[in-house]
Amino acid sequence: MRPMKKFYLYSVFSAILIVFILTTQCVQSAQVEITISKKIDRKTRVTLLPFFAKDADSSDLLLARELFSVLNFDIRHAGYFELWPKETLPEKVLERGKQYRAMDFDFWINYATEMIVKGTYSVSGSTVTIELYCYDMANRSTLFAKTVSGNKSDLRSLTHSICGAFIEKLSGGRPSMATSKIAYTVKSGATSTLFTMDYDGQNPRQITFDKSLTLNPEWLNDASGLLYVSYRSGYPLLYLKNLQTNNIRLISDKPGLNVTPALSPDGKKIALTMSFNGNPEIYVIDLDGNILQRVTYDEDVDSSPTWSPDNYHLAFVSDRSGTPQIYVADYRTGNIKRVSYRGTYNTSPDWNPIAGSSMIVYSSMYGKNSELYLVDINNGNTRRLTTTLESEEDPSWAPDGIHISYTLTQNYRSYIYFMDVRDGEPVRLTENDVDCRTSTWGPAQ
Amino acid sequence: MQKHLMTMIALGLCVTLVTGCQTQKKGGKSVGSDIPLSAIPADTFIEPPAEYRSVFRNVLFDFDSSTIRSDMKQSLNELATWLTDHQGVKVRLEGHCDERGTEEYNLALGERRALSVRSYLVQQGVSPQRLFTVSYGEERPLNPAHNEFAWAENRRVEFKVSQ
Repeated sequence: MRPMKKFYLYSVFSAILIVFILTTQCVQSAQVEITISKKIDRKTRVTLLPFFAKDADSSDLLLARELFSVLNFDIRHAGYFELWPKETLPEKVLERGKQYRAMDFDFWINYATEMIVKGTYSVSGSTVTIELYCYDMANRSTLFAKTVSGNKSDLRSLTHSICGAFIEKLSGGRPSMATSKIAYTVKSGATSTLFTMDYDGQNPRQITFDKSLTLNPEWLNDASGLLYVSYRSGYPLLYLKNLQTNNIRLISDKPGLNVTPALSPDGKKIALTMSFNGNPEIYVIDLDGNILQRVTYDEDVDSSPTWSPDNYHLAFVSDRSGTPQIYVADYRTGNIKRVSYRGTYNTSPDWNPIAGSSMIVYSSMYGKNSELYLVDINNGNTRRLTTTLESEEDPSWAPDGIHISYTLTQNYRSYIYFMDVRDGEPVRLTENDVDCRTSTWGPAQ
Repeated sequence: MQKHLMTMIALGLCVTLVTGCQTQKKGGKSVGSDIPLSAIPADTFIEPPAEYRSVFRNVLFDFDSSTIRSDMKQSLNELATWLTDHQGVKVRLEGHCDERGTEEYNLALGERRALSVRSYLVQQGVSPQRLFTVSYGEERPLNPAHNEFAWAENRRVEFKVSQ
């Protein structure tokens, strides 16, 4: 009798364990930590079904196609999913998605897919309503269901917002880039202009109209405005444009440089490069331009500050060693330590925005070619992210801390790209005929 | 014991080498950062008039350097003398870089070059109140070509004047 009881206990325990593994499997696989080692997390296999009209009479194929293209881009590039199956689903199978309001789990078992995502739409006048559902095959349950509605002209941003909510849920609350925008400058002769676009390269919008140089865009933390440097007065001064009211406010107009602004994660301070004391140094000012603290005190170039997620450290570029390298300053004590050693020209640092991260991405130039690197400031270990013959520079983290946008220059033409730093697969965002550079990734909205 | 001694010597050598490298600085940075820039003037600066063009020759720099090259000092000394004789003239020093490197760093490097020329002129007796700076980074190349020759021309400080 005793061994039987033991066996019984074992089987109950294993059954509980199996259930536990099954239920946690999907959510577990979405947890991501960016480290220096090139580790590709296992991705969840997701099958996307086309959007169909809730009411068959109001079917709008163009609208359905646009909805699907946004969903497809957001899920494909989120970093957690593998679109499945690899080959296109036959028409008959797609039709099946249409017919069933609830999921027919048994049918999909043959496809070895882990999640099904499908949606509906309905249009009334200028209002469109979108529903998105995600079914978990292992649990045979609805993992996500959400409805959004809004103006038909905002179709793409509505779809991004519902996809963003889905991705955030699946990633355990990590911000999604689906709702974010990217600011960048477009160069034309001796002038340059500030633009924003959705993170998928769509919906470009001109922000500045000065007939002068406009440089160094930096987002406010709620995406309501952009800090930037303009030469509209003849000198590089720092301005803030409110994107809702279009109001422009002068923030800093010290003699000399007022450039390379970086807003602190708490949104209260701006680190920037100023030279009014006779040398380019890092300062921290408030949003009214009052100086709160001077960070660097040496006779060399100090530039390009970026904040740590905890607001207590600043990484920046300095050529105090004889060549430009990345340094980290403790904002409270003023202690400074060098963190890049490989290479003789390391610039444009950007600190990973996820709380506790010690990863900084930067560009490193050799000859006339620039490549992107990742450095873990805790131990100084680095990893090269790009290996092309083209030049890649000016990296900027996405709010998810997984992707970076950057400038790729080929035949003296520059384009904005993004990549997942784990696999380095480049995604191009800007067109052939515009010279785009210095992208800055905005917050999730 | 002997092995231990050798290790110690090797270590000592390493330390000396490392500190030696660290203290080795690029020359010409003796002028400190203690000459504040004046408030930006409302005056418009223009190209130097043709008859004085020869006085205002561009100052050229080595790659990633803001050090005044020895071959540039002669013309800067002449400029300092000219400015001493023409006390009413204000000068804007415009720092530029070649297209290599990042835009952000080059903004600071261009400013550093302009400030380097400013410090040199101040050392020659020109009042810092007459010398203003602006950096254009890599945004305004003089020579649009993409080669060593063009880059050498583009790493420069240009002069604009105002009465």
